[in-house]
Amino acid sequence: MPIQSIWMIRASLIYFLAVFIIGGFMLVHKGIFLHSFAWSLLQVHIELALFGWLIQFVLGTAYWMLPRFLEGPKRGSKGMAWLMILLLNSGIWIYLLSYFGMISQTGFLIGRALELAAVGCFVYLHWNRIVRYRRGH
Amino acid sequence: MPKITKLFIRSGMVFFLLAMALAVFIELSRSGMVSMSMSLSGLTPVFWHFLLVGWITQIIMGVSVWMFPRKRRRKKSGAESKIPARVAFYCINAGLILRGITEPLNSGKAFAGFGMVLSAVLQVVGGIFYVTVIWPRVRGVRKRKREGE
Repeated sequence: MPIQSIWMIRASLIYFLAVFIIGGFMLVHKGIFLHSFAWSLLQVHIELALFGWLIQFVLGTAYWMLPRFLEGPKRGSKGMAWLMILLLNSGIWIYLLSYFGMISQTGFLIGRALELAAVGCFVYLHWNRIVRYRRGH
Repeated sequence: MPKITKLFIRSGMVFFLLAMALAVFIELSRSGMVSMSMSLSGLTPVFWHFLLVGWITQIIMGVSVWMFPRKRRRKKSGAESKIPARVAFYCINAGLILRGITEPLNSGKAFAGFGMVLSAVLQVVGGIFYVTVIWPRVRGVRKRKREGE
């Protein structure tokens, strides 16, 4: 497993735990009132679940598993792979900081734009790895 | 395919079917074609969690437990324990089923509230057990040296 995948998958597992704990807190609050703050965590729960856990896990596994190049760097540019990780995770955190009002509202747009850039890197890195290696191909 | 993977994936498929059936039921209720005593606001989160936790997350869990590199074994130790993965499976599934039953019925009744608390605890415990299983397996694999290298 390449180091970039290790970072992405381990990060996704940390987000996974956070998602379950936040979700568990909100579900307990639904059953027995805990704190009015609970519902303000819904957007955090959704953001971390979709982008932090699911998407990041899939990207990390795809980077590892998809067919490798026969020439040159086996999984493409390592720099672009690290950039993808940085963009995705910084996008998540900037979005959340904006949600909690710690930075300006433009943080929502910047966060999503960074996530979009991460996806662009992913597509660029993996487009030509969607290939079948067979005799005569 | 290990037995635990089969359990995760088959259970995921069942939740996938239940989620989509629930989606149809919710739409029928919204359109007024079906009337029901349960509140839609209780069914919608059940739908999302059956889909995202019951289906997608369990597929990920099952396939990752199957495919990720095994832990490095020391010579004297036996096979890695299967218990944590099974605990994860049973806790998450029990938690989801309990959620599916109690959340739509959340009408201030004590049993529904207690059920949701128990569901939350089970799912969190299941999630923790899954991470303990898979974390050590997120690692690079040492390449075996071929003869002559």
